[in-house]
Amino acid sequence: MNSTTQSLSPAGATTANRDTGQSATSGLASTLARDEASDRSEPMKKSTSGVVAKDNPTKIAVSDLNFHYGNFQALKDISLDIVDNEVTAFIGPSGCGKSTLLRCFNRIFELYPGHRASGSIEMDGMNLLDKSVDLNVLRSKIGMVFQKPTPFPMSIYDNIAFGVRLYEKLKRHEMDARVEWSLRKAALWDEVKDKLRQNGSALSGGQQQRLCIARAVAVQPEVLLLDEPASALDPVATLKIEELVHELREEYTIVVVTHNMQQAARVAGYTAFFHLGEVVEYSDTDTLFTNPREKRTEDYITGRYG
Amino acid sequence: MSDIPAEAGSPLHVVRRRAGALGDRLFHGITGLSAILVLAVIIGIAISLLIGAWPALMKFGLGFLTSDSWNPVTNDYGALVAIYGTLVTSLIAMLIAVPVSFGIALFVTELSPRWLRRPISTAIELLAAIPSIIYGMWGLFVFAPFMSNYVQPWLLDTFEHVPLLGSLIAGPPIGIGVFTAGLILAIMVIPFITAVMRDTFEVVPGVLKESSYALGATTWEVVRSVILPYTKTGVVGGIMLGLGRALGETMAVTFVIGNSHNINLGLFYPGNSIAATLANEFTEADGQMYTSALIALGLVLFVITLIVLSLARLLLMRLSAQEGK
Repeated sequence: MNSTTQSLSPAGATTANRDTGQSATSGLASTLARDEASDRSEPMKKSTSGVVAKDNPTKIAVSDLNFHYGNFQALKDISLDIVDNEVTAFIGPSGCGKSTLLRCFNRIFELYPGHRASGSIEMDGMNLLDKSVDLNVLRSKIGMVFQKPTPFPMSIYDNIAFGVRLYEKLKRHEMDARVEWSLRKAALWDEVKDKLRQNGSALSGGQQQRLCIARAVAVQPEVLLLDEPASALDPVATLKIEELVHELREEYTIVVVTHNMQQAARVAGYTAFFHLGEVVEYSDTDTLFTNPREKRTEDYITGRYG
Repeated sequence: MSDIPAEAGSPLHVVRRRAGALGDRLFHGITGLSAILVLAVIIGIAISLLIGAWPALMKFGLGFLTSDSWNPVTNDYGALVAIYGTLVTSLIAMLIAVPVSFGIALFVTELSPRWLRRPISTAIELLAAIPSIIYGMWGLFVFAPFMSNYVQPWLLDTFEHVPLLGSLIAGPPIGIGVFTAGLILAIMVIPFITAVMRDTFEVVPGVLKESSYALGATTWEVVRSVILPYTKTGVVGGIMLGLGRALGETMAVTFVIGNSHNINLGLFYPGNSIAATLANEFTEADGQMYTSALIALGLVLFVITLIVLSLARLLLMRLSAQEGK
């Protein structure tokens, strides 16, 4: 089991040792090296999730990340690279640490006493876990959508404008444009354009969740974290969210936590399988599902887990 | 498989269902009766107040509300002094208690380290459990002298030449008066408002708070834009509960308000409130008109409380309209 000591990049552990310490460049290097490696071994199968941006650089580099809930260690020496402008899925059984890792990226865990992370999460050459990082700025760059739709108790328009107003002083018409832009991004505009002044909670569950995505997109983040974004929705709404995630991938780096393996296969270019606080396997989605390296991964994706 | 429908249709099953249905009806009847009882009590109180106040209302008419005389010798009564005292003491109490309670509730639910939550919550609940007569005695024997010796002279010196506040903060620094009564009331209602606010803040879904923090909002922005709108019913309800107590509080106010039938702009002057007037004078109300005037005062308090509650309802409706509901 080499994954706990070595950095995992989507290529697989063998080529992804980032002990050099230059995470941003080495992440890129490892991604490139992965391509070579895969060329040498077996040709990669065509992805079911559309075009996989194989040569994109690393956006977020996690190394030696440990996380504790009080005395319980939820993440053990996690090292992996999140690729820019791509969807990365975290899968694994409940309590495996996938959501915990997601919540480290925007340090939302710090709302709760006793939750602490150590190690490093580098984005744009900065360790996000560093105390000097401005949390509010960090969270404006890394948006998050939660499992349950959480419209704020205000109008649809204000739901979107709320986040924008925190950072930008926009004129009335500029704000109108931004609200429309983000609602269009979230494929919700046509459904709500005539009722922007109505309360956000009046929408259906699926619409509410797209409102939450629009809200996250409105502040123009670089990274979107989706924590089981469709688990509370019906199949039709789920499909819409998945299509949306697929669309948004072109402009954002997206990390999605999901229980639903089909969903990971549908939307993600890369998938990481978590188990008991460790990353068991991390590779491009196709390989992970069709040709897993680890026995535990295979057991999980074939439903023999446990 | 076949024995399941047979069992469902067996006599035993039918009997049990009937018993359940009877229990349901009984329960429905009892709860309905209790609810109607509340209405009946309210209406009964209103009617008996009206009947008792009738002679005074007939004699003084609407002038009862605007007259500031209160003279048992000439049997000339007006409610203005008591209304003024009631409203001003309650206003002072709310001006102090609402922000303080809000701060306490916010600190306990959002900011405080875990180990400090329980001690503060317990202290708040203990404060609510102290009988009002204790507050009154403490107010008269401890708090009033303290006000008179330290706080009031200092306030008088500080605000002497400030235009508007100067005329409000005026009067003899004797400790007892409208201002002290307002302060005591504030201390008395803080636990109630705090407890309600804390409970409502606690029911805000964690994920709702998380999603606003995740947008990069600061604690204050989350509180103002998400927590307060989400909990507005509870918050307004808590404030109204406190206001209701402040308007009707009797014992503590009677001890420290000074019981003087005069209206003064200066808050340090002694005054009177409706409840304090009633408590002080019921025993000595000998004539029919005197008693009737006191009951009319009670009726006024009843109506003031009704108006306050209606205003709260209106406020909530307008807030909902703003949110687009």
